Parts: sequence; structure tokens; C-alpha cells
Amino acid sequence: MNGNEHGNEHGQMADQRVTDLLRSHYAAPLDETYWTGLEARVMLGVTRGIVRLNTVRPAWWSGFGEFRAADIRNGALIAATIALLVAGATFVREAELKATAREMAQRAAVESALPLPLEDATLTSRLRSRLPEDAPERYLHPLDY
Amino acid sequence: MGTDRPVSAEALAERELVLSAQAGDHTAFAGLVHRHQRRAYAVARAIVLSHDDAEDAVQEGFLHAFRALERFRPEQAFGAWLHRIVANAALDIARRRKVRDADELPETLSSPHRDPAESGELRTRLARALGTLGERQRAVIVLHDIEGYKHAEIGTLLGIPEGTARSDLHHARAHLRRQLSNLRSEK
Repeated sequence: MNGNEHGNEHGQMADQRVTDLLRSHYAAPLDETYWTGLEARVMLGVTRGIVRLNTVRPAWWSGFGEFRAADIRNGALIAATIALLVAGATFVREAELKATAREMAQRAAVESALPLPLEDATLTSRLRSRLPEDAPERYLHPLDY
Repeated sequence: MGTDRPVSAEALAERELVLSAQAGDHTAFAGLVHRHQRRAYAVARAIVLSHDDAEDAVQEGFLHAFRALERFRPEQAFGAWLHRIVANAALDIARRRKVRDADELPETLSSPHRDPAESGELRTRLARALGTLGERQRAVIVLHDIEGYKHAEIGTLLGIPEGTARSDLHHARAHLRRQLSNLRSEK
């Protein structure tokens, strides 16, 4: 803090007359008994505040009572929702497994009735020995051919 | 290369009080109240409209400080920490008061604790001029020109940038000078 910092602030000097008026208007009480009284009131407020805190401050076990009252209901709702979701997911999963198993069984039945003759078959591919001489021309200008 | 600053006996005594208060010694906290209540009052008075509100802010501020004492680090400046808390309490009261009884503003504004030496008309004019000044600008000019705080300190107290404090001071001075110019020329 600097009581002498009353210089030019953005070009606006402090007006001594206005400053004196303000100082008078905002003067703190001079009476020493006032300050003694204020100190006593502050300490009384602090003591009352402590008493109130001790009265209001809940015991560690009181949280369980509050938990029982309100939170168990919410907890039960949440648990029921989760259980419902798990049951739904399990049902869908089982339905999918059953469908897959049914499809596999059907496919096995079809394959056993009509065996494919692939065991002794030989796969061959026909390779072109060479390209015709005008092949690139034909590829580039197909309409001329 | 020594970074140790000389610590005054006053600062050491205050540190002892802070440590004792943190350990639960109410007498030590009373000692801190005794040391800082005048400055705390000045800070609060700059922000709120009346002496009574300033007193309320001081009491609330000290109560908050007591409750938050265990979080205070003794190497900090206790005064700066406390004044910030008191300023916040005062800002809160000013906000509530503004909402609650905006109609009574002219009456509550001009309530200095004791009669100043100036004439009644002068006091009325000053009160009216202060009433037309923004809340923050009023606080800034009082904290700077009367209480001697620097712009940065005012910024910290009121939670505004230093530049805003500078600008507010400029506008507040100009405003009061304008409002009281006629009266000053009459005197």
C-alpha cells in the first residue's frame, strides 16, 4: 500500500478537496471502546459459529440414516434397471446362439444329403499363351475394331 | 545470494499468533482480530454503503477466516489473506443489499459513522455523487485515494484486473470532480 500514490492516473489527478471529503465521509470510528466492542462481537460470532458447527455437524454414522431414507430407493431403482438391461442382453444373446445353431444344423443336413464331388476334382486354369499383336491397339481404340 | 528477508518482530509475533490460532487457541485469534480489525473495516467500508454493513462484513470476514484458518499457509501474509476474505464478504453484502433495498439507496448511502466537519449540504452532495458512482468505481477510489492501496492490490481485493482498477479510478475521480465542481467553486 502506498498512501502517496496519488499521481496522474490516465491523466486524471486526484482532487485534494474531493479526497478530503471522501476521507471525512469514510472515516473509521475513533473511539477505542468501539473497537474493543467490535473485537468482542467478532469473537462472540466465532464462538457461536463453532457451537453451531458442532451442533449441526453430523456424526459419522448419521450418513447411513440419510442413505437409508433416500438413497436406497434410488439405488434399488438403479439396480433394477441394470438387472433388466442384463436380462435383455442375455435373452438377445441366447436367441442369436440358437439361431446360429439351427442354421448350422440345417446346413449340415443339406450337405449330408447332397455330397459335393469336389474330393477327386482337379482345378485347372486356362492360360493364354500370348497376346495378339494388335492387342494394345484394340484395348486403346475398341470402336475401330 | 541470500534470499532471506529480514523479518520484523511484528511479523514474527503475528506468525506466532497465526500458528497458535491454527492450533485452536482462541486468544491468539482474538489477537489477530485486534491487530487487523481496523484495516478490515476500512476495506469493507470502501465496498459497502454504510457503516453497519461494513461492520457486518468485518464480522463475517473474520468468521470465514477462522473457519478457513487451517488452510492458511503461515508463510503467506495474513493481512492480505484476511482482507481478501473481508472484501469478498463485503462484496457479497453489497450484492444482497443492492437486490434487497435498491429503493433506499440514497438514505443508506450517506451514513458515515460520525458527522464530518463539512456542512450538511456538502455531505449531501457528496453522498449523492457517490450514489451515482458505480459500486466498483466507488470502492476503487476509496481504496486507492483514502486507504492507499495500489492498483494491483485493489485488483486482488475486488477480483478485477489491475488495468480495470486503473480505469475505474480515472472515471471515479473525473465523476466526483464533475459532480462537486459547482460546490467547490462556491466555497
